[in-house]
Amino acid sequence: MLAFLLRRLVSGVALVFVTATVTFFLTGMTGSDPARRILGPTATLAEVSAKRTELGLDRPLPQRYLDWLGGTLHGDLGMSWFTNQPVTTLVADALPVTMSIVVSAIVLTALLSIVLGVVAAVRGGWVDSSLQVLSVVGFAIPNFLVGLLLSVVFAVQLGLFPAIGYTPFAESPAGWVSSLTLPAIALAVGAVATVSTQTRGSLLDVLDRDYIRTLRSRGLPARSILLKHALRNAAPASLTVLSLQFIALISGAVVIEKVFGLNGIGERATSAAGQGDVPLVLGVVLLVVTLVVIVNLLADLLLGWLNPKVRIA
Amino acid sequence: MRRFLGAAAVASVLAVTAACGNSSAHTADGGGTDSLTIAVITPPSTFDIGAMASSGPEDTYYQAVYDKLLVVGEDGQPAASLATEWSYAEDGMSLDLTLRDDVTFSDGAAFDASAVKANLEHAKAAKGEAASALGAVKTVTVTDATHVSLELSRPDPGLVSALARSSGYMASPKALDSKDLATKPVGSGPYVLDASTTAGSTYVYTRNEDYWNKSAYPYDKLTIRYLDDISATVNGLRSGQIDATATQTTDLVTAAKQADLNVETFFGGGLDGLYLWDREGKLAPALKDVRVRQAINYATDRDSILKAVKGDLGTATSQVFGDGALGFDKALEDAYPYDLKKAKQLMSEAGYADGFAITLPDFSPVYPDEQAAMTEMLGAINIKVTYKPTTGDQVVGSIMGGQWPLNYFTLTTSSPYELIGLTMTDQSPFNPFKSSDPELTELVQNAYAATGDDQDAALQKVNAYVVEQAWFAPWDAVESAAITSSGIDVTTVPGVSVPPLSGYHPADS
Repeated sequence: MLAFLLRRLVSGVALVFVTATVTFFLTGMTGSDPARRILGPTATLAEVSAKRTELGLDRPLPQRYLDWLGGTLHGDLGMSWFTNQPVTTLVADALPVTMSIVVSAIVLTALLSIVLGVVAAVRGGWVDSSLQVLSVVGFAIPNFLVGLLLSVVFAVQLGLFPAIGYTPFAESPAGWVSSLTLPAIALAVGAVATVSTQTRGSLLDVLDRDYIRTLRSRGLPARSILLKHALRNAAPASLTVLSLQFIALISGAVVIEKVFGLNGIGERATSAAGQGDVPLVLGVVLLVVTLVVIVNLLADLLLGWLNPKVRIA
Repeated sequence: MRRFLGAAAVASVLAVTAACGNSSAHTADGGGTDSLTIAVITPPSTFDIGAMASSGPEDTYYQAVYDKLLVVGEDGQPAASLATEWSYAEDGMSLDLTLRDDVTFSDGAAFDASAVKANLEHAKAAKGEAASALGAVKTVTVTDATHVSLELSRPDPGLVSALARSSGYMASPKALDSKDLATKPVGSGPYVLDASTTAGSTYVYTRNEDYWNKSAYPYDKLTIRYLDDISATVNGLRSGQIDATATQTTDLVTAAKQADLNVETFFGGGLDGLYLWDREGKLAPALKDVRVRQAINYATDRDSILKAVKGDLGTATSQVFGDGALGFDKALEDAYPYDLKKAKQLMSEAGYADGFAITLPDFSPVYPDEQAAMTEMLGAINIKVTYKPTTGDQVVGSIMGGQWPLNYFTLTTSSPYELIGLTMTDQSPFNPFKSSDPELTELVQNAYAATGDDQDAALQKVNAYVVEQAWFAPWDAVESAAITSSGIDVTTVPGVSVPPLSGYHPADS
């Protein structure tokens, strides 16, 4: 198990390094001119040139990369060119917002998907057909549209939830729940459709296996067969899809954060990319890739626990 | 029973969550004076004096913590603030200011002439937009605690307008050399930035209890939220979480009107349209001929553009100075009525009946409708356009570098003098081919030398000449819109794209 973990960890670190490096060189080769953006349209060419020097943009790209890498290894991601704030502060401020939405959405997805998948597989008939139709609808509707609808109905018309903004947990736990509810639901809709369909399919496969028939013939209660045997063996496939969904939800949060006026990682990523704020772009990329690696690692661990064969792979 | 308990648990969670939502959904203050929440489309880049953006949406963040030497009055002209009186020397080579003597910064430092000197020198060294407007200031001399004199390298009648905008912001002299000033402003303004601020997201300000002009700012708490999504902004306004916003985005104005929010439009200080840079004919020889430039103006259907492209957010104009600014001439507003026949005739007289080809920067990712309108209008007089991909941050540099014969552009300026300085002299950064015309040079010199009421007449002559020579093909004077929820009134000022913070007040006051 330890060797398995180490292998995953090393490949994860390598992925972070390669992605960050590729991103650095790609952003460095865009030919954009952040100095002009910072100084505004009335700055002279000489002033822009001086600003470029101040930002270090006149130095060779490899040299800038080594400086950035050295700083990063010491926990210093540099300063945002446009907000004059340390990148670590900007990212640290935004991370709780995004993670709150994404984790809430993934918990919601996991709970609903298991319930819906099990009900569809066990009940069959019109219940199964209805849930499959709902899954297709949930999968087809873009999450920003769901977010807009939820916002207009539950925030603007009914006033039950805030239409915009994020309340930190430390400030008000109740406000935190309230500010996350609509974004998390909007984000989870598509994921629920995907994972519940996967759960249903896996469960139907397992329920059709010989050993399930054997267990039934030995008179084990149906509930016990379903929960202790069938669901556990159907879980790995669903868990893999769920971990992939977690990564997809981080991407999906970009749009949802816009709709609900949440200043999370997605908002930071889009504004930094639009402005050409390279230090902040790199900080966000580094964080997101690290998150992806951690999620994959956790999923691998869980899969290994559920299915020992995986540890050998 | 278990099913019932499950359903009851779910219902309880939803009820509690909804109740929580009720408690925090409507945080803005409607018609009261406890708090005001404003949505702004961009976060502040810096609070460092001189490096701050000039008179754009970011100005709202600055106004909360900083006072300016002058402010823009309701007539669009400079009015008293930290400076109570101001006057130019007869030769226009210096500007004397008389200062208030009852102002202190939030760190306890006194506002006086030395503070003005320190701020203006700091701003000039910062080389930002605010600094460039102080270009004519040579030295700042402290006469006594309440009097300061700005010695100029050339007459600059637009300087007082600049001091009423971001160039006039004053920070505590003790804080000027601190790197923290970029994120922790220390001013004498009506509010102080609170520690609960989340940088790049939500800026919370509390009242400066010692403020010298407290009655002008009725709200005890101010929150400025960075919000760049139209739907989120409108939903925030409709749900009462946001009280106000200012915009030049047509889609937001349309959405706000559809949502029955209060929308007030006003001249925002920008000139929108085609800037005909290549009057020397270096890239497009045809543009050297004034008849070709006039033809482009006659081929411009301003009313249709305003309606189809701008959603009527603007005022169609053929002249370069905005309504309310010195030099504005009502008679020039429709100097080039849409007349395609006349445009073609002028092209023919200039020897370009079959048109010519030009290469322009591709703005379609950002301004698709504007670019389509421009292509159609130029095509109507046989000017064929090829577009070259250009990123947003390369646009200004490429214009200044003389890469384009003309292009769609918007330039926002604080005064006609600033527009002249930016575009009409042979030193102007937005005169990339250094077009020079002795008659215009003389008119500009007269305008700079004019004082008092003569300034308006002198600037009108500059305006008339530039319009006649078709240096530009303006489309419209850009309008801003102040959008407020019920319970909030706003007083705007012409020529500034966002309302002053002191302009927001409860509807019933």
